[in-house]
Amino acid sequence: MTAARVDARARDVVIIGAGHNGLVAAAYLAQAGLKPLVLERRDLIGGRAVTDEIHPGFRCPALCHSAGPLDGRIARELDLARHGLEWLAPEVRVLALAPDGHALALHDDAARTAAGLQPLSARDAAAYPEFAACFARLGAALRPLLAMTPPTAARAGARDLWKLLTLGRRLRGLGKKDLFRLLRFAPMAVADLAAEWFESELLRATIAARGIFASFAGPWSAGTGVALLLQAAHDGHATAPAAFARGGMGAISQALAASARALGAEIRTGAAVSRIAVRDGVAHGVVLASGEEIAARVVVSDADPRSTYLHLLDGACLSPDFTSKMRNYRSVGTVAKVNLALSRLPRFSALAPAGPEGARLLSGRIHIGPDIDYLERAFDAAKYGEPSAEPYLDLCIPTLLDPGLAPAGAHVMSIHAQFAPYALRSGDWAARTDALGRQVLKTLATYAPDLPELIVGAQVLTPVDLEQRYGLAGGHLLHGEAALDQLFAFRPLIGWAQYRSPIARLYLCGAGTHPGGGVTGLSGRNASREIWKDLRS
Amino acid sequence: MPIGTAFHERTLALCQSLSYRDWSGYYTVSSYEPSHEHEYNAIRSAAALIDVTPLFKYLISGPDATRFVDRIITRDLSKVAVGQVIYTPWCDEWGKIIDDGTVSRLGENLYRWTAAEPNLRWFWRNAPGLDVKIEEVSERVAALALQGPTSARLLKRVAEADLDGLRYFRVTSGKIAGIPVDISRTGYTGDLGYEIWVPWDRALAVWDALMVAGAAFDLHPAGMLALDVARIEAGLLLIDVDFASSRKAVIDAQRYSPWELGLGRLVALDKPAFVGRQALLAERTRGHARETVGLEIDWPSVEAVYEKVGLPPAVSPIASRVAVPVYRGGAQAGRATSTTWSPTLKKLIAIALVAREHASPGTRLEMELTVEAVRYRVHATVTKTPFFNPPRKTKTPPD
Repeated sequence: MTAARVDARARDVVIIGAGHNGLVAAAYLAQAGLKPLVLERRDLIGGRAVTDEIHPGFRCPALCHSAGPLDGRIARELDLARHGLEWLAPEVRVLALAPDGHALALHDDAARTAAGLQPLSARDAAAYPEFAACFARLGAALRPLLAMTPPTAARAGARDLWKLLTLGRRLRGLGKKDLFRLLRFAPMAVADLAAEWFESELLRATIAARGIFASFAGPWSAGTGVALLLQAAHDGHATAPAAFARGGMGAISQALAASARALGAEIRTGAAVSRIAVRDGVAHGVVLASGEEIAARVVVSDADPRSTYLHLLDGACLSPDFTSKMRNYRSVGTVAKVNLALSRLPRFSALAPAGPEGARLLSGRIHIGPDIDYLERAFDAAKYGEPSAEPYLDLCIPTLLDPGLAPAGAHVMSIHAQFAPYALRSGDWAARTDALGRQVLKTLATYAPDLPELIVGAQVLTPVDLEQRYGLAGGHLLHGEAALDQLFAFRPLIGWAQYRSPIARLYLCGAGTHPGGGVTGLSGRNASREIWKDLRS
Repeated sequence: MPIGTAFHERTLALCQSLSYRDWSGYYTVSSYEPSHEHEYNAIRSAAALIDVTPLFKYLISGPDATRFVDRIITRDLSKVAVGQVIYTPWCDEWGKIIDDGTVSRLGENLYRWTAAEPNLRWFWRNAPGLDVKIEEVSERVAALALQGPTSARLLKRVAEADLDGLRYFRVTSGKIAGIPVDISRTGYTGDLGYEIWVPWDRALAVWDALMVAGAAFDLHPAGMLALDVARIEAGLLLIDVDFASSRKAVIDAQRYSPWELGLGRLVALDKPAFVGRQALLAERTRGHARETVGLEIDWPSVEAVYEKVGLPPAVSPIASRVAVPVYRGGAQAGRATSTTWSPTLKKLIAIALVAREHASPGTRLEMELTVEAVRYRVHATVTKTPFFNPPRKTKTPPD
């Protein structure tokens, strides 16, 4: 009955949002022989993975500054190198700075990291290789989960049980000690986890930072250990990734778009979807803000779950039970973004004197948040609706490896500032944005005293900007908390983690689905597989 | 412990029987006199004044009020004019009835909604994304039912309102004793009658005006026992007796669809979206398993049982809310949920829930009758409800 009513002019697939997952889904569905149409509300494709001109002549990754990294299969299967994607390999993964002039460099190579740790703590230097190897092993055991469609725990079928059995066998292969660690680490407070391995505060804090990045959590919050395991599943490391592309994050999106187009997808910008059209519980297209109606056999949303379910759908389409669960989906943003255009490279006290060696050390991610208490205090403020007096900063200077982003000799700096809670206890972000920017600069000046005088342009994006400009409901960078209760078979909701929705022919493919989080493309890839499975049957 | 309604001061003084019950936390008169028979007769032959304040009452307003109400109820609001009142069920997402009540369209986007049970949370849960104001006005609005053949003439005497033009299931505003009231031509008796919606703090003056003028129309205050007989005659269902809210159900058999309650005509499946629509569409295709019907119990068969026992036939004047088994042949076909002697019809009647194959009018069934603690079966015939449906109920202008 429904099929007979499908508009003859209907598109195969309409994808809401040209974020990287939307583009990945478009490319795979095009590869399968469909003709997807991607609709992007902004004039710029990429969603969270964009390179914006923040000041005339200065281009900067406006939101995310590293991929998660992007899954290697996606780069291969979509031939992204041919479409212009070039990865940059920083020598340092994370450089942690302490206000007393200490610095600590974490490399992908554990032995090299351990050597650097020697002056800080001989004990930590000895422990680091086993720490790195342990997370590499745990990550490898968990990795198959990432590309898997989570089981429907509520009504597990034979296939789901088989998947879980396979996973169980793989985990048993870890050996008793690692299996225990796996079970213990996920629900642990990351501060405890780091303290079990290491004694120096700077290293503990650097490790712990990955557990709280973009989350409404401090290092003492239970369950923050899971983020380290998730990162390890992606690339074998427990620390923040430094996966940069030439041309900034936007270059990843451009390569994905080029690949999708070459495979037959169409991408329209400036096309804001205002509503998903649903009839009799079946999605049959979208309505644009302009009033234009586009019929489609399948609608895929790369928007976050709250935006999709609570804003793009008429509430009457969903059961009140589902809606209230969705309203309880946690996505309160805590990250602000500060992008700076700098006349030259700032001098960091910890690396003085500056030189090519200093520049190499700075080329990965830079962590500011020198001890566990500092990070917890930063979170404390957010709990009570205030921005941190001394924020935890995660930054990078993309121009060190990619000088083309700024005029010769000049640089851009991309800073995630945490915590800046979406909902302020007093005042609103419009009135407090400048103060936030000043606070971030003040904190930075502790580590790079000459930085304030080098600024030629600055952009401050609060969680409210993340919501309004980038369409992230609640201003949450990761499309919702990536916590134990909202991961895997629980992302976004238990029973609805298979990229399908309560509305037939409506799918989700964004970071609010498994494995979610950063710029990996896996949500889009997994979603496209499920969509194709349904269309074929 | 219950509390009094806005009319408690008056009803307490009149309640000779001191026979009260708890209705949603309020003291409610069961019968004013030791027996409810005069009160019943007032409903059918004169006029009765019934305090129905304990109903849950909500006021829905705001730009999306119509969308909001339409999203929840099973009926189609686009067919309801301003000034119209509808009786409607509303369902959960599995198409099972949560509650029933009346919705009065007081303005383009203004509704007064009555319900048997608290619904505020359910309303809130259905409000996301809508610009709607939901107010519980249960303690701000008192309500009286004025029911019976002389009710229109009495009301015309005391109310400043266009009552001649007020059709069945319509609402108008007016004044009684100078107090602004809403008057709807609705009720729970199946007779000519009105419900009067009064500001809580001025309720007594309205009661007094009606009682004073009512003397000339043989007005009696009436309690729940009389109302219960009348509502069964009218074939009107009572929650927790003839059906249960799906919210309280423990097993599936305790969940009821509109079709099972004979309310299928109130389900507007052509409405694009409302809670439960998908499930109700499926049920329409699949067919419902049970049906609510009327039963007329064969009186000679009752007499035969009593004769066998050696007793004169007797039947309680009070309606029974005890469910009793209903059989066809040797097997159980369902259950009678409300049973009463109808003084007007001179018949023993019941509302029953039976498997669908036993639901067509004329089907001969048997109902359990217990005499001296021994179970017997008496013959009963499936009939259409209402059992009693006088033309005066809907006649406009009223007599």
